[in-house]
Amino acid sequence: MKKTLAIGTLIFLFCGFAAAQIAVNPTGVNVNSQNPTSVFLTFGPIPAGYSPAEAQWCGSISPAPPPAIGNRCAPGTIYGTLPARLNISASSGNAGFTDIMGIPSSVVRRAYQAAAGGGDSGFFYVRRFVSASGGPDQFVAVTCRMAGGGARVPFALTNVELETGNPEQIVFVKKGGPLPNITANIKYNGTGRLRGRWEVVQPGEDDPEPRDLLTEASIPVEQRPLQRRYTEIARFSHFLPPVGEFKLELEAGKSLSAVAEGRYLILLRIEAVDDKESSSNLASVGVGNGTVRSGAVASFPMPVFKFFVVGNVAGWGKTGDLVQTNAPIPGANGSPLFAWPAHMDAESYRISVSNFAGEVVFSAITPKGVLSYTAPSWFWQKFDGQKLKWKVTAFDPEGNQLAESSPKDLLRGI
Amino acid sequence: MTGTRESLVPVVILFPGAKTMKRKHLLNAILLALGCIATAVAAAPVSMDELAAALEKTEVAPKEAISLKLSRAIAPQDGRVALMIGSMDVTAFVAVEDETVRYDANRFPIDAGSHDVSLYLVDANGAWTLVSQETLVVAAAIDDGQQMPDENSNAFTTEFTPNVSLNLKSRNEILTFPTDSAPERNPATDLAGQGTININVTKKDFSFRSQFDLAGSSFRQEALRFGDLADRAPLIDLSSYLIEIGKGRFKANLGHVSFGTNRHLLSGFSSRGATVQLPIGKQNEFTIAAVNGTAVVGFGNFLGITKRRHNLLATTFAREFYKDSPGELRIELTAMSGSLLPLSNLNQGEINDAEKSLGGGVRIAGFLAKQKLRYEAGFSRSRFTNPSDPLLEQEDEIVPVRTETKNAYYAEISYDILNDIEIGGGKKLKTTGTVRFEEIAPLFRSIGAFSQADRRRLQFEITGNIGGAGFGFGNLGERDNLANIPSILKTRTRRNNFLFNIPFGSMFSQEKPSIWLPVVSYNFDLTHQYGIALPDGGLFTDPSQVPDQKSYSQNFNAQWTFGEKYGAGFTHTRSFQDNRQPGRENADLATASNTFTFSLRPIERLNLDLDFSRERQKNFETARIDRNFRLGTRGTLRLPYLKNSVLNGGLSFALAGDDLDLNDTRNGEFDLQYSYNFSFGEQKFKKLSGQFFIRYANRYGDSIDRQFLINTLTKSQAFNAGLTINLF
Repeated sequence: MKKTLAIGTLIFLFCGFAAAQIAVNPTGVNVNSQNPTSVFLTFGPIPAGYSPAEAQWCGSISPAPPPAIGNRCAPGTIYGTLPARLNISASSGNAGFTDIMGIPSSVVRRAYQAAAGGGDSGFFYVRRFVSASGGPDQFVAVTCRMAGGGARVPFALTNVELETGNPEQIVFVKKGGPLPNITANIKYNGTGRLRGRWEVVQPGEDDPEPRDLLTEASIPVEQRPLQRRYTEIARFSHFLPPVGEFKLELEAGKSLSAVAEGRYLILLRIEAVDDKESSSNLASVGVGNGTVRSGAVASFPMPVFKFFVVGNVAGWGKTGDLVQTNAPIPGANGSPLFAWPAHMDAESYRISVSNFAGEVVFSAITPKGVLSYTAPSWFWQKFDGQKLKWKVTAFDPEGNQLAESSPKDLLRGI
Repeated sequence: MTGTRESLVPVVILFPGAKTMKRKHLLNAILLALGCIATAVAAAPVSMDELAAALEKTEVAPKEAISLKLSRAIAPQDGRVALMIGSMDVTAFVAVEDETVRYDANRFPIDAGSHDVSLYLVDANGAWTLVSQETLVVAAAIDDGQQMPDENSNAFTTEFTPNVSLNLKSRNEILTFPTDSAPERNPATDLAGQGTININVTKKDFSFRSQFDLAGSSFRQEALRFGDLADRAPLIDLSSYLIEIGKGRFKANLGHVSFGTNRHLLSGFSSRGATVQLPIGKQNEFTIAAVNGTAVVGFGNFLGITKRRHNLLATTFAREFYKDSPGELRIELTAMSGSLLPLSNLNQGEINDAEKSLGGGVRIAGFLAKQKLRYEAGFSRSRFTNPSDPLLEQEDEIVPVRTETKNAYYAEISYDILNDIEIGGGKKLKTTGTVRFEEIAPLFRSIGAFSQADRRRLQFEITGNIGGAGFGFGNLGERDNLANIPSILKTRTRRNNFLFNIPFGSMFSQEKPSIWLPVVSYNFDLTHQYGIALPDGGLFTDPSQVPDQKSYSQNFNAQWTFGEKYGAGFTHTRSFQDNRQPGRENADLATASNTFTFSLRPIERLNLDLDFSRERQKNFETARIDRNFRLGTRGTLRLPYLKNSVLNGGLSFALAGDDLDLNDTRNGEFDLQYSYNFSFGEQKFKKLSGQFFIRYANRYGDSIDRQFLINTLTKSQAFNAGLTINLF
């Protein structure tokens, strides 16, 4: 009788633990073999009293010693632990846990070197869950398959940098002057539609929290509508082919009237999109209905571009640059046709062409409203073969310099 | 005599019947000499139906008008007049009345000294013909600050320009729903400020320039380095600075600098540090750079080179092989060494690592045949490793990373296949072909430039233009897993794109462009990426894990500009992702969007912008169609009855939903701002200006998700006000 009772108790306990075993979705993904990767994962259901502990990458897994459940990383094959700087995981919904697996390139480098040495390139991401009430640890593994980083790899942003073409990280803009054109240099995996909006935090408004700056796909589905919104200045929707790099541009001057003086923050808000490889099925792990859209996930908050609008700006080197939107094209007479965008306060412009030594060899002046200039027909007869640069300077009605573009190469036929 | 300088080209007929080589050369030399004489004659100013011109005064003051007297009035068939003073085209500010051409030098005074004043006639095709050329002497200027800055001046100038702005900003209690979404400080009042100090000293080819930008706030969370230092962040901090000393081609920079032209090793690296550019003779140049590993702000690490294991040292030697033709053949040798901690630039987010690399590279660039053929090639070799990263290792015994030394190289060549070929109607055709090749070895990495390693690419490109219209076609082939590791997926990519840009308005008549015809651009991109086979091992178990995707995208854009007052635009985009591998046949996505934009300036003081966009996405696997709709408006009104006042604001709505009725999202926002600008004093250090603004913002968001049973409503409204004082 005692024996039967003991066996029955063991079966009951086993069933109880088996029922509480944490699952994950997706269970396996293709990852970039040379560069970082981010993947949206949903773990669940998380039993009461359990909480996530560390997550590791390793070359092989082995059954965890009882009473722990699942497969843990095999000693001697560990490639690294998810560093705190990339850990943006969060509890979600009905006993779920959203984890953004951001794989640093040093981890895939280890895996690649193992494969190049004759081993297997596949590796594992193992998340450990611990119980506060004395239950056994649970290990849940996701398989990572090394690929090229294109199609079939989850659509994710791995590096986003905002720049204006100047080395300054923060720029000062004269009130009424042109705002800096901002380019987001984006490195990504997979393929999909990059959709979102540019927003602005205006003087006096509160800054966004770090969670507001995450891409929409990087947070649990129920928290997405709670991200704080600011004034939208432009929308974008671009298809990104599976080639890994993209430049997203914002012509801030066209979209934003920075009338008030003070500090402005330009925010890049990325919305979640459909992507088969990024989808996380909540139903399969028992924490919800259906599949969460997680295309355009990222393991870090989107960077913020900061600029100050001030009443007076000392002249040289300021952004508030005129930005030459196009390289000169041959005009009707075969000479360069220069074009530039308008400056709000400009009364006149000067186009300057300088040679290799920096000496101005040709210039022309135009009044307000004239935003292009065709050089004389003899231009290339005189300057052919020389390494030239050109720039545009805007002047106010008193002849004071308002803004200047950065010098650009001037090549024949371009 | 009629004719143009361009029409009198030297005609040299080589004598074909010479019996001996010596005689043939002699005759050819004579003919060549005659041709040169003809060219010289042609190059001289020609009489245009007795048209001649002479300066009314050959000596003037800097701001004095410059007048030329013509021998007769300009006839329509003459074309238009163009005037060059020295090397500056001042035509846009020239007035022609009867037989007088007059340049009012008041706005752009001419520098003191002697200048050639050249008058041209420009015909309908844009050809310039010299009519007269005389020397003008401009007396020394009395500098009242109005003279146009001269970039080649011999004058010694010193500038000291300080500027300080103080902003007092205040916000009332934000009303929010849910109430717990309100900010911690509610309401709030802060004092912020920005300052700039600018000192410039220039004299001919010597220059000393310095600029320091500072920013501060009484609210610690707005401090520039709050993200790094939290409560230790100084309230007033250095935003950026640059000190530049130059003499001729010698340049030394300290502050925020950017350098590097080696594509794979060190390319446009921007950070805080120092660079020195040393010319050696007229053809050689030596550049040394020492910078921080990432761009920084703040007074800390002022020089940019004091943070251990987070800096970069580099040097480049460059030689121009042709002194009189810079760029014809240039070689650059670059060496660099550095290491990075897992930190990011201020304006960057990334999945970072601790990294260390040492490398060298060579870059060759130049042109042949008067720039018709241009080329560039580069080779880099980098030794890279990942140093210890405690956050990644966390006391575990982890597999060490081996140091690897790898290569990357590229070459590209461009040739002007057709160069300014007349195709009638004054239009010229130009076509350029480009071939690029690039190979980056597996695990190649340098901390000075980003490269997608383990790639081999071959690319062809044809670009061209006809008149103002441009077109291009490109083809790219790429493969990865160059080491053929069997357990890693091997992928091939084929990409074709086509684009054109046509300014219809000026295409048919440059003299009188039509405002009704738009500038149209279109591009088409087709990419096919597929795996070669299911890898052997690597945890690949199913053919669906091997990609086979064909995707295309199209973008059509039309822009109309109706003078300075009205503009309109239309953009249509569509894309399609077609997955073809087993198990993914239906995992296709299609997207289409239409956007209309309008800009209006019905009166000088009012600007209005309106945009309307609609987007549709279809997921073929789930048979779900999502739609987004947005209407946005913005306006700026300079109030006519309140001087120096501006009213601006915007109203926008965004709606999103799907045909299965699983999700509905509505967002709306409205903001209105009034600002008033004031100033006192005119003198340089006695002037004071400022601004007062008040803004109201109201935002609303409602999201219902019937799939995940989520219903979220958010609302907020707030008043902000600010007072800014600008000193100096």
